[in-house]
This record gives sequence, structure tokens and C-alpha cells, in this order.
Amino acid sequence: MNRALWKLFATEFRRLWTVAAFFVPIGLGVLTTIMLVPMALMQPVYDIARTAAQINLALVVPFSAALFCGGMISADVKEGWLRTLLIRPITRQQYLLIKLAAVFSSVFITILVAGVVPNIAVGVFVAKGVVRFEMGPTLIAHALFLLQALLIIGLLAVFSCWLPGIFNMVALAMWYIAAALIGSYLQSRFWSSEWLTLLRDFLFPSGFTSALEMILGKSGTPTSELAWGFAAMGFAFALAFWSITRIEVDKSSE
Amino acid sequence: MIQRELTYAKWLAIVSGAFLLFAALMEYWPGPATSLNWLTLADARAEALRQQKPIFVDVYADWCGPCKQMERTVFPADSVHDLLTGRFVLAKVNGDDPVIGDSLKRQFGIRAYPTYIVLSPAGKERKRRVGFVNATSLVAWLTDSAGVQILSWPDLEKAAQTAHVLNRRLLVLILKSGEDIEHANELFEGQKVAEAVSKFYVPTLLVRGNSGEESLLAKIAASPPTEMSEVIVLEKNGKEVGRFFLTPQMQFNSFALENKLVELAKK
Repeated sequence: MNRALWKLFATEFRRLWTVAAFFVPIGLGVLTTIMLVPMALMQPVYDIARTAAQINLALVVPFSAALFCGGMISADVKEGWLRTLLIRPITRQQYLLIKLAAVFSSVFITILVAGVVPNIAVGVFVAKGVVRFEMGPTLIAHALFLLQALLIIGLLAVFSCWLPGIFNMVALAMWYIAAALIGSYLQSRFWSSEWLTLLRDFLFPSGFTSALEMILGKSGTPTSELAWGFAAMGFAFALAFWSITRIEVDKSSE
Repeated sequence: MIQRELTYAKWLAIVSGAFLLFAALMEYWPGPATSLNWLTLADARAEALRQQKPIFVDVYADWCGPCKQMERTVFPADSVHDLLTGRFVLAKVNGDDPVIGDSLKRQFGIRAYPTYIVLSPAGKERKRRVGFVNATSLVAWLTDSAGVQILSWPDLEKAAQTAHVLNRRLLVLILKSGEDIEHANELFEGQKVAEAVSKFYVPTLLVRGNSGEESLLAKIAASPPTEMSEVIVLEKNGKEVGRFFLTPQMQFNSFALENKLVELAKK
């Protein structure tokens, strides 16, 4: 990566961390601590990897990804920032790559501050029962959170190329809720149908979360689940890189 | 101006397609054949009666991912293999089979693949488990049946005789399926509830779907099947005293069940 791209990364990273953005890790950290303390006081065994999965997959990963990615491309188009950048020797794909790297770094920091630190602190200082910490599953679980975060970032990047601001977060939330509702309906009414069961796997990309369930449940190696996850993530990024070439920067407000 | 650089998009799509193909192959590749001696359900029933061993029934489908995962990783594990071959007669039923599968799904109220059912040598359902389960949990689940108190309750005929001799009322617990045995056991194992049962009643257990128990359910006029288990209290002469459903609230508040049992005992 050349110096100009490093400089662009630093600029994009700084642009993401506005004063309001600092409230994302802090707010999520407070929320996760509030969720974890009763669990630590009531559960006889406080399993670091399992609690990490509960708080990160349900709260920290989707919310931090959504808050940092919401309108990440559409806002740049609207403000004329993309047009300004493209005058310089930077391609659209380099711009998107840098943008994704800046967002992912911000999400990584948020997971660290709001997901990892409170979990360990509550385990060490608050837990009444036995604290179970297994290095292998915990590290694998956190790697899978990051992959899940990348997947959500990829999806939001696609939406952000086509939908303005808040709408891409709403679209993702609606997709997620609709997939969960349709999935549970198919599970309860058509559980014995091969094709509808297969369709359930395609409602929302769930390869990384399924892989995590298998690892935490000690249910073998999740090879096909990981492959589903990487395929979904790759397609999301491919769509994002295709979508960025379709944006008409001249239609911006500048 | 629209830039048309699609290099990254193309390569990502190609690599993702490869991952997708690999995942599909992994998912649908047939699992290795295990050395377990799986019989048909009819053969297993006959064999279980002859050997006086319980039956372990695996209800599966060819397209079911967790079923294949069980075949690949759990059944070959030494602890599972030894337990299944040593203590059980094994039966495997394809739930998609239009004849055997459909009738079994109706009889036992199967609602997901894979479902594992343990039947007594006489073919009565004792417990069931749904979905993928790892080797350690499967072994623990299969070996802890001794602690399930309600399974030691006498059958209806014997309980009726005992009720007559002891001059007590008969408590008939009707479960919608064997899946509820462990939940119901937790309820009836509670100290106060267990005391109320042993003080006032002679208890017996019926599980819907058990072959031969349909006529008994009709005889005591059990309510049509619902999502909840039912308790019917009968006089020693068979006349009904009262009935109620085991509501989800009773799982959290055992006083409700205890009060209901005491109320019907004194009615």
C-alpha cells in the first residue's frame, strides 16, 4: 500500500471517529456490562467463550457494524467527498478497500472495548461461580466475531452504494428480522420438506454463527459452515466492489 | 463517469463461488457407513423383546445436515459406539419413507430431524432428544435414565389395583410425547409435589404415541392432544374427580401444582 493510501486510511479513520462515535464503544460497553453482571452473579459456571458469543453476536457486532457503516458510501457521495477523492490518483476500488479497512478497524476497537474487556472484567471481579476460560475456543470465537463483523460490513457496503444514510441500516435490520420470522415459520410448519429446509440456509448468511455454535457445543469441525460463511462474505464484497463502479458521482450535491 | 474496474469483484466472485461449491459438496456428500447394527423398527421391537433391551431409534432424513454430522462424528466415537452396541437394540427410520416414516411421524409426533427416541423393551417411549448432540452429551443423556422417577410409576392397570387396596385416588399423568418426560419429572420430583403425590395418590404415566396406550387414553376419556401435558385424578372405582393441564407457569411455580394436587385430593 503506497503512502497516499495510508494517508487516505488515516483520514477515513479520523472521519469515522467523531465525538458522537466515541459513545458507540462506551455505550455498548455499559450495555454489555449491565447484561453480564446478573449472569455472573446467578450462573454457577461463567464461561468466557459462551458469554462472549452471547453479547458479541447479539449486540456488539451488529450494532457497532451498523453504526459505523450506516451510509458510509452514500454520505460520501452526497457530500461530494467521493468526487473530490476521485480527482486524485485513487481508483474507486482502492477507495472502497480503504473505507472497509477503516470501518473494520473501528468495529475491531469497539468489539475490544465493549465485548472483550467487560466480559473478562466481569468474569474476574464479579462472577460468583466457577469461571471457565479455555484459550482455544475463546480465540476461535473472537475470530468468528470478526468474520461476522466483516460479513455485515460487506452487506452494509452494498446497501450503502444504493440506499441513502439510515435506510441501509433499516434494510439490514428488516432483512434480519424477516429471515428470522420466515425461518422459524418454515422450521415449525415445513420442517420435513427438503427444499424449504435448504431455503432456510439462504434466508440470511449464517455460516459463521453456525460454525461458532458447533465449536462452543464441541460438535466437530465446522468445515462446511465456514465455507458457507466465506462464500457469503466473498459475494457481499464482490457485490460491493461491483456496486461502487455503478455510482454516478456527478449526481452528488456538490 | 462510471469506472468499470471489476477486477476485485470478479476475483471475489470466483473465490466465493469455489467456497460455495465446496460447502455444498461437504453438506451433501454421503457420510461414512458406521459399523453399528441398525435394524428396521419392526425387527428392533422383536429383537428388544427377545433380548429384553431398550430400543434406540434414530429418525433421520437423507438430506438432513445434522443427521449426517451425527453419522460422521458422534456415532463412530468409542464411548457412543460401545454404549449403543452394549445396551440397546438399534433402529433407524427414514422419516421421508412414505410408509414407515409417515406412520412413525404421526405416532410419535416427530417434529424435527434428527430425533432420537429410547423405547422400553415393550416398545413404550421413555425419552427423546431432538437435533444434533455431541458425543459427551449423548452418552450422559443415555445413561442417566435411572434417575427419572416418573418412569418407575406402575402402569395403569397395576396402579388401579394398588389404589383399590390402599383406598387412594389414582393420578394419571398424560404426556404429549416422550420429549416431555424430563420436564414432567423435574416437576414431580420437587419435594412438596412428591410428598403430595405419595400422601394422596397412586400415580401412573401414559405417553401419547405409545402403542397400546390409545385404548387406555380412550378409557379414561383423556382430552384431545394439545401442546400441554394433562393430569386426570380418578376415584379408585374409576370415576373422574377432576383434571388439569400442566401449564408453563407450573414449571416456575411448583406451588400451583402442589395446591392443585391437594385441592383434588380433598374434593
